[in-house]
Amino acid sequence: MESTNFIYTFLEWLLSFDSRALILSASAIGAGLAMIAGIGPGVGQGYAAGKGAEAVAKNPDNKNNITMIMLLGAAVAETSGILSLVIALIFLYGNPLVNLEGASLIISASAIGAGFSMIAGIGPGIGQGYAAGKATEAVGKRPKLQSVIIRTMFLGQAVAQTTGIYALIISLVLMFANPLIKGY
Amino acid sequence: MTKMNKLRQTRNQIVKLTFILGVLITIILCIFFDDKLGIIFGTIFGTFISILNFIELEKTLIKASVMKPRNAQSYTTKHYFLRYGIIAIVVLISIKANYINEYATIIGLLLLKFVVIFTNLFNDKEYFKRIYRKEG
Repeated sequence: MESTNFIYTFLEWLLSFDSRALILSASAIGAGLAMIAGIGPGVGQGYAAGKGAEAVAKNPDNKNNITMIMLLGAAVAETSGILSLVIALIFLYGNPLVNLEGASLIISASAIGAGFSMIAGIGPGIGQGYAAGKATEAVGKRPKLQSVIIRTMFLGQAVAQTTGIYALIISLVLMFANPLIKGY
Repeated sequence: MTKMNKLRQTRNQIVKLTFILGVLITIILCIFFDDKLGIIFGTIFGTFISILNFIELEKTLIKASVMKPRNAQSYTTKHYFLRYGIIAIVVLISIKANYINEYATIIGLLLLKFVVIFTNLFNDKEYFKRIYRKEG
């Protein structure tokens, strides 16, 4: 019966490896997963730039104000990409999980989980870029309301960033203060 | 003040404030932590790279704003990944080099984002009063 249980066989196979090798492999997967979040700001900034180009085409006289809004919005949209990069590089060059003692399976799963949690950074990246794009479009249509639009955009972007920060906190907790290892 | 100057003025203001905040953060970190030289190198390295990335972003968007929307999207995305690569190299160097504090570099890299948000979000009390004002 046990031999037919795929998960049981798979876990047994995993545990047949050296624990350090298992943790390092999981960290490599975690680093790769964390980098997926870099897609978000790319898509978001692309969207903002597209909307900016549209707005400039409609209202060429207001080009500089439109570019300014796009610049400020796009600069903020990059943040979650930087955070995911930092987590991935910590995995590769300053991995705190390697020296931990405890069940190697839990430590490995934590490494993958920490990488997985950073994927949440896609959301703020796209969302902030979307806000920047819409604000750029709005400034093109109503240049007189620029200061109100820019502030509303930043308020929305600051709120949108929170999920990215939650993801970062969970990722850092899994790496540096993992309660699952202590509880085992 | 011409229209072009307004864009340049905004950029200069953000760069200046980031630099000032970078110096302040360096002093504060040096007071509380022992690795003073590493912190100084880290924050300077991170802050300068974030400022250079911001200037690159400005140039990219100025160019993208006169393109067709589809071309502008792909052009901006390409340049985003270029900046992303630069940041990766910077963080990698600060982790590898013993004389640079990597946490100070990360703080330096993120400083500009905080300056952009806080200088534009918290510069008008009336705006927040309007948000929280009760209707009727």
